[in-house]
Amino acid sequence: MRSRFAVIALLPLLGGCQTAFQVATYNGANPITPAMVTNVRLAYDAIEPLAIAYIQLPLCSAKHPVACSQASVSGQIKAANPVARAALRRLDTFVRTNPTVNAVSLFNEAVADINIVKAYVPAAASVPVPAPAV
Amino acid sequence: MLAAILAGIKIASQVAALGIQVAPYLVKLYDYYSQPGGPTDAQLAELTAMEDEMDARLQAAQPADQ
Repeated sequence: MRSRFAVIALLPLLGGCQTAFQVATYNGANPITPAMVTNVRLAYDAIEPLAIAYIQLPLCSAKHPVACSQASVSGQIKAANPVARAALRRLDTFVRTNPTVNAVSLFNEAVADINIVKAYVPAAASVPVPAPAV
Repeated sequence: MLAAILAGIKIASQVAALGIQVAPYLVKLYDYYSQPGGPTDAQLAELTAMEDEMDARLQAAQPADQ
């Protein structure tokens, strides 16, 4: 398990190396690199299990005042999840099929939709989500 | 950069504590996208299936018994 932690911990570093390489070979047409798409997918795939864990907590009540979930929040997470996933897949498909076309708007849409899910999940507060592109 | 590494360790610890086997998926995701040309169609289908499974688990998740 420690080795898995080490691999996950190194992902941001490796992503940075890949980004640097791609910047060096990049033709300048699309500011959204495949590495950026990978990072945004990694962020959401780190948030999602935490969202599942939140929903699975006991409902908040006098008996469970802490470490509990609110049904309304769980409902918001379930509603926001397919929206975020769809945005990620649109971004991924677009960048792979149109590598030289500007994908900033799709990237920012995916980041915004991921941040909506993240905002509902207290344990995901420390998950780093890429900043919107400009 | 140090903050990102620490955040990665914290996330992995939280996920592992939940007993959710997401780490192998994240490693595959990174490996596939790091190779020249990105993931093959078969690899993309594999990743998509794993994400679909996680999405289904989220939609089916229910609060623990009171």
